[in-house]
Amino acid sequence: MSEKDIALMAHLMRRAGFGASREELERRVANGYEATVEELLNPEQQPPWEEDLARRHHIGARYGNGLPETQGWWLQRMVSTKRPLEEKMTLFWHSILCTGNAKVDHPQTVQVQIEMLRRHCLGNYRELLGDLSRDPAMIIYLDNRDNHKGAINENWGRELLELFTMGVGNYTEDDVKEASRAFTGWTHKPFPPLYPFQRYFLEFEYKPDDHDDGEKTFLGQRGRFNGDDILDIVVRQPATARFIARHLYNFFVADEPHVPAWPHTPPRDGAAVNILADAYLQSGYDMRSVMRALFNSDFFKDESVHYAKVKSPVEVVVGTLRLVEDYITPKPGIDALVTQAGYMGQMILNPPSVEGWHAGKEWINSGSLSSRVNFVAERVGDTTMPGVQNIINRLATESRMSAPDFVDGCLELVGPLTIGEQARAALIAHVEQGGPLSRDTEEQRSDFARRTGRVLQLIAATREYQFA
Amino acid sequence: MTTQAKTGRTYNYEITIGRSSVTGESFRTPMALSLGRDNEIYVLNRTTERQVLGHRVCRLNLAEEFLGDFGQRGEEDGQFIWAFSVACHPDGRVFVSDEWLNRISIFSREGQFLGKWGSKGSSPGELNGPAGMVFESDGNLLIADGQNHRIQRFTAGGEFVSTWGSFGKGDGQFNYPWGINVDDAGNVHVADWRNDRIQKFSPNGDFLMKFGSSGNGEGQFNRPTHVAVDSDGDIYVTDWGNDRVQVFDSEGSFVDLWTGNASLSTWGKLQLGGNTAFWEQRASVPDMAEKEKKFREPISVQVDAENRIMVLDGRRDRIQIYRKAS
Repeated sequence: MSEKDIALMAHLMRRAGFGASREELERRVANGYEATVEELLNPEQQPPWEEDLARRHHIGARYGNGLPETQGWWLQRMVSTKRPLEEKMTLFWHSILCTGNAKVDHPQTVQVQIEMLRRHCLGNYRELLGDLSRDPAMIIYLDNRDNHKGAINENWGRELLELFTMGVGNYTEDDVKEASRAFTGWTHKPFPPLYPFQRYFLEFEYKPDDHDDGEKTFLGQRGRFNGDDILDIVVRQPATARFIARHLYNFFVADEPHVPAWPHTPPRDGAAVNILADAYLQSGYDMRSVMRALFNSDFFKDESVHYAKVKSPVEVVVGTLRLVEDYITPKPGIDALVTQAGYMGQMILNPPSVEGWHAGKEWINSGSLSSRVNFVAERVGDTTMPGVQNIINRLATESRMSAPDFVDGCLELVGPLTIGEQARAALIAHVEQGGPLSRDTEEQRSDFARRTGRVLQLIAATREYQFA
Repeated sequence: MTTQAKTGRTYNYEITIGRSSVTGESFRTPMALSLGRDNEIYVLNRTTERQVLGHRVCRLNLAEEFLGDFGQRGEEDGQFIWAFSVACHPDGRVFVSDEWLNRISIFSREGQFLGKWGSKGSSPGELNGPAGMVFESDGNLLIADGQNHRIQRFTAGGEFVSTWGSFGKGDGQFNYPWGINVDDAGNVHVADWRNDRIQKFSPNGDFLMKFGSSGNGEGQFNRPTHVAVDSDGDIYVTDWGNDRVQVFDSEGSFVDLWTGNASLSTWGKLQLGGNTAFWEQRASVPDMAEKEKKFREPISVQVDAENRIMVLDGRRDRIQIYRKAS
């Protein structure tokens, strides 16, 4: 089993999930890369998330009354799932087809939307768009409940074309108006107030009397289009294929500029985007097929894109918790961890705008960087954590007792991570300053654990650790 | 409303008590209820992690009088992290289990902290995730020791008396037991939560019977949380994951199924008060009354001496009360 194989598998698991332990990487390498991809692409073959236990312990968080527990519910799932790509894809769609509770003000309805995204995450994009158009949270977020026959509200119609399918430059203002007309009458049923007995689920409602049934011209086609006709047209557009493909490249392969820059900035790897766009069209918009093409492609495996993405705050938090094996089973405090990701710039279920989060380098500023480093350092330095203990035991078993060997071992076990020579030399010097490593006595074993935690903390502060 | 069960039993819906809020005369994500002396009702609330003051026991009576509350989130004496169940001692003291802190906290009838006991572990007398609790007539306390998958009996002072059960699906085994109750004969009924069944034991822990399986049909459960028995021996189960209550006879045969009959409570009316927006929003919902009736995650049930069946409607922050008429 070569280090190159381990590195490639680690790359896959960082992108298709939230990272993996050395033991998991070795198991997966032994199983084979393509077999691992298939396992990830078919999450239903893995054990389901133990939702009942989460409900028992995080009582009231499922379809929560408030936002923090609803966010915590999803974070708990991301940390403890055995189906990492399912959650990563759900996070991807949440980042693109986003809805924010700040406007919806109905957390359980936003959670229902997340479940819808999860249900469709590796399915057919047309079907996803169909349910998204009927999703009460989206109907509120993009004002389609205010889109009436004879008095259109263009918000949903515009963002459907601009941010969810084709992208700017591929449609006209008239197309926006005509699409909006087609979605008149798509709303939600009246629902009870929060008080006195908590929230009720929201339901989609189609009001034929409020629907503009007149003839429309959309993207050069004429007809008495309803919303589903618009979706049928947009989903097959080559522009939609390229747009979704570029989003996938940006999320899973390497950082791209923000969406508003796309009309003016060519993709980092145009050939890769074309491959993904072709897979989208040829498969009939089947996202499992597209993701299979992505993960098995040369452009994904290429070392130039390893660590070519700045970790999102959710990746930092979830990846670190999985690394140290904390919150694998429910325990108090999960809501506060959501806030930690918020300090780093990403509050799930509450993106800053319909454009979602500005990712890549914009995740990093002086405040967020210190939050990221402190969060990770606090956890990897806790030598009582099972995942940290595994690292300590592995280093001991492999007799990584010289300073360079010890540092390299730590880097292998948290990544594998390749850091600059200057940073590596500093880590080695730090270890040497502490004197020889040994595990002969109880005191030495305790000191070995403490020093391992300290080096892991320093690794968390390296530039390289901030990349996925 | 009157429900005529197929077997000739008649149940009348009487009243809904409660409303949703973190403090004051209200409940928020209640976990359990227990009947105290003089028809007092104690409701334990979990709320969310950030709502420190909402982790409390509310004390009220059937006249809808709010008599006070006690407790808050924390690890100090009298505080809770994952409060799970409340049980009233025959002498009026109130006991609260905490499944994270693995301890039992004791309060006076009015809520003064009196003491605590319990430690984490799996040996006899130790606890791992104490869940439901009930006092026997002699003053001993039975605890569903959730993550040890067993039942333990203690004196009120915390001295270990006896235990039975282990992890599994067999008779007398458990998978995360939750609620526990005793009938007039002292037999013990346990909501064997993750096995989707109810088990009945003699007072000394001998297995007597079981009923239920996984599903949403009659007689099936989706994670039953609690169980209570009336003076005729009929058994009431909060079928939490199916949002309903099921009734069985003393042999475990299905009798009836309730999906809820709640009405707007007095406290609820006070909460809506003069807020015209709330009233207008309610009026805009065509099936408001039907929506409001239904249970959402009923979590605890108790029957009083007058065969009033009190169902704690977990995600609606209220108690629905029924009475068995015949």
